Amino acid sequence: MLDTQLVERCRTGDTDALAELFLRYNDRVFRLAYLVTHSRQDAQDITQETFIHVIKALHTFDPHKGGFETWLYAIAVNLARDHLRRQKRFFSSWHVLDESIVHAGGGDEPERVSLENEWQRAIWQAVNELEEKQRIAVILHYYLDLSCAEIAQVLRCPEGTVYSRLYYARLALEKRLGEFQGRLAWSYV
Amino acid sequence: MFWQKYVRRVIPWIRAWQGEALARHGDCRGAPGWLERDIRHTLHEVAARQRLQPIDQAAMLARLVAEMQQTGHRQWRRQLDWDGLGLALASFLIVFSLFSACFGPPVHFDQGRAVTPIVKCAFLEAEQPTRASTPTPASVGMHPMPRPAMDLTLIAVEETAYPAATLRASSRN
Repeated sequence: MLDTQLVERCRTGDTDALAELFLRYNDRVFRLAYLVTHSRQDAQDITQETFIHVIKALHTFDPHKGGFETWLYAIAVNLARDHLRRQKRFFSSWHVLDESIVHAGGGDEPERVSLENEWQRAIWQAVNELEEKQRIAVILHYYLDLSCAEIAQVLRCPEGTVYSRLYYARLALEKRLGEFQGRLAWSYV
Repeated sequence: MFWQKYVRRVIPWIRAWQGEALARHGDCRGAPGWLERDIRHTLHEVAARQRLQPIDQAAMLARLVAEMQQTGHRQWRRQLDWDGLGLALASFLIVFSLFSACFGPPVHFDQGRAVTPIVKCAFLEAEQPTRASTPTPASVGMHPMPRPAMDLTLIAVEETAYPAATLRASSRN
């Protein structure tokens, strides 16, 4: 069943439709919130708040303006950003890295796995060091695979701004990861 | 400085223009393929390790269902408030009309008597020439015109219960 049909059913008070929507999207909303806030507890709260907000604002959803998915992500991103502002949390990337990226190492190629781990940690750290707006654009683009037009809808900004943020984010990532590659190459010489 | 506010206004425009220019040249221009691929892979990897526990999901869903029912109840109550207002107004009007019908002053619906003299007066006024159109005897040098005779049939029908012939006979006398 399409999202819009489920939303229509939700508007009439159908709890089964709500359950279906929740089961369809809760994982993605939770992971998006986690990538933005870096905290499981916060991500859980944001997921719940997002769906409560959806229930309360169902009458304002207009399918002609955009899809349900982008509307849902817009709510989640806004709540996550509010959450960050309230808590004034500044990420300590290293703290997050340890629990986020742990590869189960293959027995035959421990060196390759170790390199891969370090590389992924470096990417994750570089993403977290981006400016908040660029970081969110990167997460929406590379994790949720949203197009720039959809990201513009989520962030309520012009499409050109999204392109610009992604462009500068890529430049920054390339620079940081290039430096890291250089250090990595020297350490293995 | 006064020019700073203009610069602040111009910068977003330049950025938007630059972004559009980038969009025209393709999304990934300038970024190597490995970077795109590795960022995507890393984010998916990090996200895949995070998952809501089924027990948390169930608790969350129960809370959402309760919230939805509460919201529906709230809407229903709001609707009921408006309905209740309309109902109260309607009942007040009904009670008021019943009360005034029972205890209010009597209303006569026999309007024949009230209307007839007015009709008659209007009729007589129409028969008499109006002042504006009637020349005065002094200005014209003529005798005043005799007042036209009233239509006794009308009077008989509208004001009295006597037939017109009786009235004519009595008026001749």
